[in-house]
Amino acid sequence: MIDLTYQTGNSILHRTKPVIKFLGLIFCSVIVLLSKNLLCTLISVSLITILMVFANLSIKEVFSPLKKFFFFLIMIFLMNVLFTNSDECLYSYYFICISEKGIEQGYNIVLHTLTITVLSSVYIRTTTSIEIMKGIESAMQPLRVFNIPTKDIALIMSIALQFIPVFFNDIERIKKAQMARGANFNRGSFLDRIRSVIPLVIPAFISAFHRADELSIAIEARGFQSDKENT
Amino acid sequence: MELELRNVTVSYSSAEKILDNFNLEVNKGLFFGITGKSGSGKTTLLETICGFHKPEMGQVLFNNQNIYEGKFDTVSFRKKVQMVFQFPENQFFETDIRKEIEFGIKNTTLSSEDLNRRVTETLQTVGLNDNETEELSPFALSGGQKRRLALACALVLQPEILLLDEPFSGLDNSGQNQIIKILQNIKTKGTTILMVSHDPNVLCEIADRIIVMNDGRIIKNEIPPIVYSDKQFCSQLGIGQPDTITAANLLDVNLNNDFTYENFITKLAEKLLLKNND
Ligand SMILES: Nc1ncnc2c1ncn2[C@@H]1O[C@H](COP(=O)(O)OP(=O)(O)OP(=O)(O)O)[C@@H](O)[C@H]1O
Ligand SMILES: [Mg+2]
Repeated sequence: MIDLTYQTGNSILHRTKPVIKFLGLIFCSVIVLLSKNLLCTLISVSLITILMVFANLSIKEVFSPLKKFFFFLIMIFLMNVLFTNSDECLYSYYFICISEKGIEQGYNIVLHTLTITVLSSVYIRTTTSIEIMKGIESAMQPLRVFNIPTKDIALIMSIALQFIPVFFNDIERIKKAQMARGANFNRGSFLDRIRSVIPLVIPAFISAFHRADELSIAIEARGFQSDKENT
Repeated sequence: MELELRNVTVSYSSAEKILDNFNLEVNKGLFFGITGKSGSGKTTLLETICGFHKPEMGQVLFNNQNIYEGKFDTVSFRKKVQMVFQFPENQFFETDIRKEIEFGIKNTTLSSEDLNRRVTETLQTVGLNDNETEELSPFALSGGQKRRLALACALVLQPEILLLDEPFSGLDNSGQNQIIKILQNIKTKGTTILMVSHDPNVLCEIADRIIVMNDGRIIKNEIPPIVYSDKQFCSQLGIGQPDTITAANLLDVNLNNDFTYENFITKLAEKLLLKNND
């Protein structure tokens, strides 16, 4: 999970202003989502290439966060290919119909997910949590007109972004500890398997609450004031 | 050779080698202290021995069998080699202490009587055996008690090798001493122990050999006096020196490689007597 946390560095992307990075991320994601097929492929490939140059990352580093999604992406693709309804089947078997439309749809969804995941992971890896918060906050500045608590929202979003990898790291650590104690996560009947996650889930929750507790104290100690208190 | 690492190289996702061509032989019944700077790969070493990081190169051999080979029996291996992680109190989940300890041996062939006896014995070993404490939830224990409970969870399996990652961190002096006593006790029963620690006093007191690590390699693998008598070496690798040595150096006392407090006091007294006689 180390790939989804901030990595110190001094690339151009590290030094870019957080607002610009955040707006850039949103902008690129929208463009990617709006385009399709060949155009989308071209955009994605060029975006990722540019990022690799600017953030000083190798292909391996750019795609490493995807390792955990790989199975998921293949599933999405297969589901689309196998279960999209179409009149023109290239190949059919009972209710399965492999059509050009299904392949196209699967390809686009996978391409979209892949590109946006890569973009976001590069963003997270080159931006500290404080910068992420500042970036989101400044980007949402215009919304203050409507009395929306942008500062709180920014804090919540940045905590969530930072918290997810920490949470996964915790689970990974607890899993190791329980396996060392003789826990077995992939054995036995269905019921056994369900029961076997208890040693994982309870400590994970306890540690998550612990962290949330510490975090809220730390945030207060560092003098954060919510929007409401400011006004 | 009970445990052997041959040319083991381990890395996480990036190219950096956390263990770099690592070689180690561990004989049965010895107590190894592992020390070295933060980030030198000590935790990774223990986890690799425990079967959590498949080496890119090299082998980890337990009784001459490669533990990362496909046909290796990992389930029974896990019972023979127990690891207590740093801050193990994060792993509790049962409603009472006995259940927490039973977790590891539930799946063995022990009868429920034997199982109960085992748990009771283990509770005695770690000194949590009074009736009041046994009733408590693991979460209601004090920091030191939690640490001893975690140790009990490993000991109940009667492991041949025990791996400990900084078992003293966050404990007060009496908590630390209790753990040391337990470790000395299980050492006499012939358990092989590998313990990561930053405390030169403790390591000097209980370890048979000290392994000094730096950047994923072994810099030194020697008996404690040889490792800790070299002041420059110790400060270079950030491992510190036992208090007795520091004091002996200040007072110009020669310890002759016996760094115990008793020896220090004896030698100091001898020196003072000599001075008075002059
Ligand atoms: N899960 C992980 N993913 C990637 N890198 C890791 C991971 N765990 C540890 N590392 C890296 O491996 C190196 C060695 O870590 P390790 O935890 O083995 O050191 P250590 O000697 O136990 O340090 P300490 O004394 O601080 O506990 C460090 O540089 C660390 O950043
Ligand atoms: Mg460590």
